[in-house]
Amino acid sequence: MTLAGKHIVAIDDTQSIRTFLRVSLEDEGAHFYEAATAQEGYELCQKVKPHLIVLDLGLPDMDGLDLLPRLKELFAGNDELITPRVLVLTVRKGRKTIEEACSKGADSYLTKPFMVDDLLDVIDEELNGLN
Amino acid sequence: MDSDQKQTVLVFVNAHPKSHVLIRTASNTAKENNLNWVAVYIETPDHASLDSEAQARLLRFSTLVERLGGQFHQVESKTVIDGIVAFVEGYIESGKSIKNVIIGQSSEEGFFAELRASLAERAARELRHVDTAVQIFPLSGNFYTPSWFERFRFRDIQFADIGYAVLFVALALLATETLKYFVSTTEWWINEHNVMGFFLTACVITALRYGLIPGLVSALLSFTCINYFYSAPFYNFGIDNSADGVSLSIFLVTALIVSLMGAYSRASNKALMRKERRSQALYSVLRIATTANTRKEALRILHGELSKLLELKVAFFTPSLMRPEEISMVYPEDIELSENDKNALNHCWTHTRTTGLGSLNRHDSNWRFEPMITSKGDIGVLGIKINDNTIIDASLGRLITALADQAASILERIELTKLMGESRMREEQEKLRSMLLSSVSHDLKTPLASIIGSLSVYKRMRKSDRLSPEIADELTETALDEAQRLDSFISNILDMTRIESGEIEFNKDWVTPYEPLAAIKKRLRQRLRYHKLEIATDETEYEVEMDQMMTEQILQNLIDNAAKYSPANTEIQVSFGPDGKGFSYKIRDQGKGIPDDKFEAIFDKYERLKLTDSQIAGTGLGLAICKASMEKQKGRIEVSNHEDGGAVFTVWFPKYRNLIEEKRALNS
Repeated sequence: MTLAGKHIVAIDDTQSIRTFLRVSLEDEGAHFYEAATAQEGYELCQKVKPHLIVLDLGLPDMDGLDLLPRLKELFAGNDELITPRVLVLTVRKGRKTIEEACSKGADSYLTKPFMVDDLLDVIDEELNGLN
Repeated sequence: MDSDQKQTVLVFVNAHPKSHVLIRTASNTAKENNLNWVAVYIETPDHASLDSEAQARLLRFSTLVERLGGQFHQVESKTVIDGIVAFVEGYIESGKSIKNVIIGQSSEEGFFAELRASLAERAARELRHVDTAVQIFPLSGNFYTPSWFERFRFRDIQFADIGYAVLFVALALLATETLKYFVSTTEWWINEHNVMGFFLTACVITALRYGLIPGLVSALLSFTCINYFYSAPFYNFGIDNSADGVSLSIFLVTALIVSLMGAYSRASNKALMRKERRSQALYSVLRIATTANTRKEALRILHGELSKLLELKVAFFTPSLMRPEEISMVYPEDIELSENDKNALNHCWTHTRTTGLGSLNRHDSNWRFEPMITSKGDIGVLGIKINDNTIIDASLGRLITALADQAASILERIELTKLMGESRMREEQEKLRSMLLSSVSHDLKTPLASIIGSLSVYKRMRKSDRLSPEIADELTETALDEAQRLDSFISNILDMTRIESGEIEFNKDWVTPYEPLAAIKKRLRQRLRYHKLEIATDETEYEVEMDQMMTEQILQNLIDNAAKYSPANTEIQVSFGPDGKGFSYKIRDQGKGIPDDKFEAIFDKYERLKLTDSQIAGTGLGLAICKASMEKQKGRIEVSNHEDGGAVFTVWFPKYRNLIEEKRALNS
């Protein structure tokens, strides 16, 4: 698989998570951007217009579930832009949270901890589709 | 129809033995026409002097009224007529309407009976302006009125009082004799006419202070004295002329009347005072009992206060938790009941009805049992043992009912508070448990996610042979960092649990302040690689009493926190020195400081739990642990913001000593 040319934004307040995301995604050829807060992440998405957003739910300044619809709005109604896929990465595994995330526009949901191969599979599926 | 809008049948009752006929009439009338009915007893000053039979009868009437579904009111008034009129007018003013009023009329016999209008007729006349029918109901037999003598409480008499009567007459005699001695006879001739005033005064004082019998004794004694000392022939009981006889007779009659009036007003006064005292005492009993927080305490207070107030044996009977249908618990426990008493008690509990002495269901018991009723039903029985000297009259009966009601509501309140407290505690625990779970799962899983993620990237890149040494280092370092964080979080949880359960013992020792810091610098080197740790110079003149291991842990936690919350390349300063009566360490960072509303919250483990997953893993509990372990060392931990920015944590120990000063003191 390759993620060459894909822009990916990760919004997660844990430095170490961002680190290994960066290493693995860049290794696959993606352009990786990272943010530690919801505000930073929102601004970054505005600027970068990513293909995929990796979103943590427990952010210090806002809950990821509240940020999610705002991210979707950012791209809605603009035909020139491709709406980015959103992959939620969180420790929350409650059925309700998952349902809420999906209804608010999450495309995939992965609970921490996870193996990076699983993550890459999901991202591959989101960005390149099933071959 | 709403019961408030129903018309009412009013019936006025008194202690007449046939009053129950009136009560049943009112009850039947009300039932036939679907009306409310109310029985009223007007309590006049004469009430205090009713004999025990009449009092007991009134009490039975009140119970009967309630059993037949009516309301019983006891209203105070100076006269019966005034009382009736005031009650009727008040009742109508309160917005209720009266269908009819029933008043009994006894067949009076006697000389004046034919001439004057009966009480019922007069009442009917007074009520003619009120829009209601007055029904006068003839009762056979004598209308019970207490006789003059019955109005005095002969059983109150004490011999000392009679002694006082003699004393007052003696004082009057002494006064007149003194006058006789000092005042010359040319100015004033002492005789029975002008000494009467002195003796009359003695009679009035005695009657007012000591009641009827001492009053009468003083009247007779005064009469005797005047006759003997001041009427001719002197020092003799004979009477020489008829004028003296007349004036002495007038004195005797006056003295007797004054004594009677004085004693009567004293009796009424006493009755009023007794009543006042009862209601005061009732009020204070309840006020004291409301402060109780447990059922046992409430029972203890109620028992103590009621026994004191009534001067009778008081007991509370309640059902046990296991068998709520049966009365099986007693407070106090040393109460002994006869078979009859037990029957009365069980009757009271099973039928929720007053039983025992003075009630309709006496069961030949000397106890009176009153059910304690709350809005949720009856919760127990108040028992009072009536001794031989106590008359159970209407007012005492109603007092006991009121006491039972109040006791019930106090016990109910305690029960409710307890239940609410229990359920709130369960809720709180449940909330805490789920908070703890989500917090712990987040704090454990985030570092684990980093470790697993980093290592799986490592493995994947290693496999495809794309792993450069720099990236390998970065990934392993990340994994190590997170593993350490995980370790410290797990230790924190274990520490907190140990401290809270008292498992950790504190070993206090005299330690120089630099000692606990020495190891930290080395241990935190990795974590502090982006910060500069500035520790004040070693001052060896002091020693602080502390548990060194614990203190090391606390200081390390604080320094670690400071690094976590302040930007890279800033300084963390640690200083120490005497502070007030104790000794303190201060750790200052150059971060954003603590928000004003969080000074307390940051030490609270529950506050930490509320944040769930939006915070840096493994933090927060550390401060709660610091606080708990400082408290165990009798010290404290505080936080403030430095005026130049950054937070300052102060760790304060209560005991320290200055070695140099102590040495100097030893040498001198």
